[in-house]
Amino acid sequence: MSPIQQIPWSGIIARSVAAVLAVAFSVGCVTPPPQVIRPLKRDLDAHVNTYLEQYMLWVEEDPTDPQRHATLGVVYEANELWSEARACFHIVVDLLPSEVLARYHEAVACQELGEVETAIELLQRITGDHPDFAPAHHRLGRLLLAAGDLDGAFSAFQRTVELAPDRVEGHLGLADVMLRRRNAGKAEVHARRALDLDRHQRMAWFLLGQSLRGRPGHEVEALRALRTGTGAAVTFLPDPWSAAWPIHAKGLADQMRLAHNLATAGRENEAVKVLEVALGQRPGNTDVLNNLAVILRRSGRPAPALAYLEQALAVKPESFATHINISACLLDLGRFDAALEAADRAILLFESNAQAHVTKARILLAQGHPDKAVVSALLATELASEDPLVHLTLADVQFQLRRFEDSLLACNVSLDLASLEIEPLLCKSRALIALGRPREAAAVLKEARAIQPGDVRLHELEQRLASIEGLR
Amino acid sequence: MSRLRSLWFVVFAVVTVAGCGGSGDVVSLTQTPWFEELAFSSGLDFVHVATLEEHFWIPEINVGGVGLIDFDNDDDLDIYFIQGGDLARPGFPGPGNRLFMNDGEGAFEDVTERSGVGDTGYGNGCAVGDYDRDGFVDLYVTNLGANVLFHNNGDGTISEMTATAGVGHEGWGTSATFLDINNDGWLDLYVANYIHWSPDREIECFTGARREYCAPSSYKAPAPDVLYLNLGDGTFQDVSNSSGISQFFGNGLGVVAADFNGDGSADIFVSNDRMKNQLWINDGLGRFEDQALLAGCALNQQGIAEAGMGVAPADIDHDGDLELFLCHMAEETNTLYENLGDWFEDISARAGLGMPSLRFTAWGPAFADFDHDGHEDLYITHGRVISGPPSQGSVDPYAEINQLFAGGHEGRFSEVLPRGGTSKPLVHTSRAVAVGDLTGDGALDLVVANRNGKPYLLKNRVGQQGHWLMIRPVDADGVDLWGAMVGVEGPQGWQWRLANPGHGYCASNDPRVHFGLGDAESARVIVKPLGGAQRDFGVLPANSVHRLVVTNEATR
Repeated sequence: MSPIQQIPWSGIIARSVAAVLAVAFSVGCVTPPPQVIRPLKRDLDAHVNTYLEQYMLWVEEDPTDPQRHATLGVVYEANELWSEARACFHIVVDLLPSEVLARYHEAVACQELGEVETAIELLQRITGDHPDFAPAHHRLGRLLLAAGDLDGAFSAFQRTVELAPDRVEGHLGLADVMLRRRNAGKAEVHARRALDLDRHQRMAWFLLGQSLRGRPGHEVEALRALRTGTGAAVTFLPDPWSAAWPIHAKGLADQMRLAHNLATAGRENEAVKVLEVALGQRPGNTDVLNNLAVILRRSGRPAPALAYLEQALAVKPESFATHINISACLLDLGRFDAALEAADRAILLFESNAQAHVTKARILLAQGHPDKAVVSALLATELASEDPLVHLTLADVQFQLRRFEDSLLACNVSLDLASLEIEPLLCKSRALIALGRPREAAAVLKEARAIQPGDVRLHELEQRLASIEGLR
Repeated sequence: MSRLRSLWFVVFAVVTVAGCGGSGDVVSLTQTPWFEELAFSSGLDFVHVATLEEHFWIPEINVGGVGLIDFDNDDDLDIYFIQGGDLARPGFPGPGNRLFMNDGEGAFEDVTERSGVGDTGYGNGCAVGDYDRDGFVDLYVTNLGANVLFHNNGDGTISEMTATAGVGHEGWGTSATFLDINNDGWLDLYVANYIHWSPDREIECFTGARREYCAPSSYKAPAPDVLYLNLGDGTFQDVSNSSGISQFFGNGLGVVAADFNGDGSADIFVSNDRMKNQLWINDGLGRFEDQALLAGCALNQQGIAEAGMGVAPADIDHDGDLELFLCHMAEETNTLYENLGDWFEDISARAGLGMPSLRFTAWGPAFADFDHDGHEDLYITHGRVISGPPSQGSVDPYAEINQLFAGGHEGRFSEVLPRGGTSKPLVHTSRAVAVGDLTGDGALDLVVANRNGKPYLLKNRVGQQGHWLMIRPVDADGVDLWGAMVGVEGPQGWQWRLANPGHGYCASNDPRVHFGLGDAESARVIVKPLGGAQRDFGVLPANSVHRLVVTNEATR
C-alpha cells in the first residue's frame, strides 16, 4: 500500500485544535468528533476504493485532525467524488474556519456539484476575508462571468492580475469581460498580454481573434487567431491542494491522462511506469496496452511496443486501434510488407477513418511508392480535412513526387490548422527551399525557431538554407 | 473546474427549489400551471424502446425523436413517434415507428398499420415536407442504418420511395430538415450525421471506474452530413461534395435552415457534439462556405467545443433576424447567440439562460409564445448521458426534469416554477420536443419524446390569456414556403418567425407560424419569402389561422 501523501499544512494550529478537541471530548463537554466521510457510490473501481480505504482508515485513527479530513477531501476531489469532497472540506472549515484552502475547496466542490450560486457566495466571503488569495478571485471571476455579472467579474479578474501578474488567467478573464462589453480594443490588449506570457495559450488566441474580427484589414489575422485558439481549455489558478490532484487520481481515465501528460512533457519512462501499474491492476485492458505501445513507440522503442500490441490483439482481434498501432510499429522496424498488411486490415475494419489511410500512405512512401501513397494521403484529407497531421502527410508525399507547389499547398493548410506547432512551418520551409524561394524559407524558419529553437530538423533546414545562400 | 476530459461527466446536482435557478429571475408559482400532461388520456400509447446499459452502446443514449405532421391534410397535427429497438439484434429491427392521427381536438388514434409508416429501423429523427409538390406532406426518417423516405399518397397510405428518390443514406442520421437551397420551389434535404459506429467499434469508457457511455469524441469518427438536391422529378442528387458541405463536418446532432445573413438564400446551421459547429452560408448558387468560426458560433466564447445537441432559431430581439439557441451538456451552459448581422454573440448570461442550465444535460429546445404575451418562451428537454442519483422520485438514473422559461422584455428569460411548467414534476430521460397546436385552440402544445419510456403530451393551459394568430405561407400552388420569414406587428413591436418546421433535436414541428398578440385583436402581417420581395398582407384578425398565398416569380 502506498504511503499516505498528506497535503501541505502548517500543522501547528491543526495540532492545537486536535489536542483541544481531544481533551474536550474526553471530558464529555463537546460533540463527538467528525465522522469519516465514506463514498456514496458503491460501484467504484476496486483500485480507487482501495486507495480511498487507506485514507479513510488514516482519518479514523484521528478524526479530530483537520489535516486528515482535508487530505481525504483532496483524494475525493482528485477522483471527482465531489459530494464526498465537499463534506470533508466542510468538516475542516468547521474545525478550522481560518483555513482558507478548505473554504476555497469547499467552494470548488459546490461549483462542481452545480451549486454555482452557493459557490459564488462562498468565494465572495473568501475574497473578503482573504483579499490576497488569488485563486479565489480568479474562480469567482469565472463564475460571475457565467452569471452575467460583468462588473463583478471585471473586479475579480483585475485583482487576479494584481496578485498574479505573470499568470495568464487574469488577463484572459479581462479579455473575456471586455469582449462581452463590446470593447474589442481593450480585449485585444489583454489577449496580447496573455500571449506575451504564454504564446501557446489557445484561449488567448481565440479571444484575440474575436477582438480583431470585423476590423478592416485584420480579417486574415482574426481568422488565423481563431483557428489557432480552437481547442482551448479553461484553467484555474493552481493552489497547493489542487496541485496534489494528479498524485491521488486513481481511476483509469486519470492514469491514462497522467501518462499522456508525462509523455508529452518528455517523461516517457515515468509515463510507461504509470501505465504498467494500470495494466497490473487491469490485466488485458486493450486501451492500456495500446497507450503503452504508443508511448513506447514514440520514445523510439517499437519492439516492446509491438509485444504489448500482440497482447491486445489476442484479447480483441478486431480492434482498429491495435491494428493501426501494429502497423506503425512495423513501419518503424522496417518491416514494410507486414506493416502494409496491418494497415489494410485496419482499413477493412474502419474504412472511413483517416488515420488508417495516413498510416498506409507513410508505409508506401517508405517503400518508395509515392505514386501509390498519394492516393491514400488524398483520401485521408477528404476524410479528415481539419486534421493538420493528415495534410502534413500529403505534403510529404507530394514532396517525394517533386510536386513542390502541391506540397507547399498542403503545408499551408496544415499551418492554418496548427499554427502553434513547428511541423507545418518546417514543412513549408522545406517546400520553399525546393521551389527556390530562400528568403521566404528563411522567414518561415525564423518563426519556427521562435517555437522550438532546439529542434534538430530546424537546424538541418537552416544549414541547408545557409549552404544554398553560400552558393549564391 | 474539472479538467477537460474525453468522457462526459454529470454534475451531481442537488436540485433545490426556488432560489437555485441561477442568475436569471424566477417566476413565482402561477395559479395555473402552464401545461397539463395528457398523453395517455389522449390515446398516445407509445412506449419508446432502447436497450440500456447491457453493452453501453452509444446509440442507446441519443435516441428519441418525434414529428408533427398533418398526414391527412385536415388542418390538424398528427404525431409521428420515432422508435428505437434492440441493437444486439442484427439489422436492429425494432417495434417500429408509430403514427397517431388527430381527430382535430387532441384525441389520437394509432393508424400505423393502415398507413404503412411503421419503419422498423433504429430510428432517431424525422423531417416533414412536401418534396414532390403534390399537396401532401411527406416524411423522411433518419436511422442508425439506412434512412427512409415515405411519400404521402394522400389517401391515408404511403409509398416507400427511398431507393427511387436516392436518399437512403446509410449512416447514423440524426436531425434532418427540408429546405430550398436554390429557391426553385422544390424542397431539398439536409441530413446531419453523428459518428461512424457499429457494435464492433464500440469502446469502453469509465468515470471513476463505473462503466458509462462514451463521449462521441472518444471514437474519433465524426460522420459527414449529406445534402440532397431535389431534381424536381421525384429524385434527389447527393450534392454534398459539389456544394462544399462535405469539406467540414462533426458529430452532428442538430440542424436549422434559415437565411441567417439576410441575402435571400437558405443557410444551414449544424450543431455538433464536442466539435466545432458549422454555419454553412449559401452563395445563392448552391455552394456553401462554413463561416461559423468567424461568425462566432462555432465554439463558445473561450474557444471550447461544447456538446452541441438540439438547436432552435428565434428572433429574440425583434429585429427581423434569427438568433440561435443551442442545447449543451451539464457543466456547460446552454447558449443563446444573438445575431448581430455580421456575427453572433453569446448573450446567454444576459438573457438569464446560462446559469440555470449548468446542472442539466439539455437536448431539445422549443421556442413558442405559450402565454400569448408577445414574447417567445422556451421549453427545454433534459436527460443525462452519465448515470447519477435518481432525481425527484424517478428510478431512472438518467432522468432529469425539463425546464420552462418565460420570455420577457429586452430578451430576458425567467424560469417558470414549478420546474417544467406542470403542477406535478415530470422526470424522465427526455430527448426530442415538438411544438404545435394539437387541439385547434390556437395555443401551442408540446410533445416530448422520452427515451425508453412514454411520451408527454403537454396541453397548454395559459394560452387563453391573450389573442393569437397563425400564418401558413404558401406559394401559388399551395405548397409551403419553407424558409420564409413571417412578421407580425404585435404588442411588443414587430415579431418575426421562421416558416420551417425542421429545428430542435430530431424533431419536426408545427409548420404554421404562430404569434401571441396579447390584447390586440388584429395585427399587420408581412411575409418575406426566400429570394423574393416581401408581401404586406395588411391587418388580419386574431384568433385564426391564415393560409397566405405569396406569389413570387423568384421562387419558381
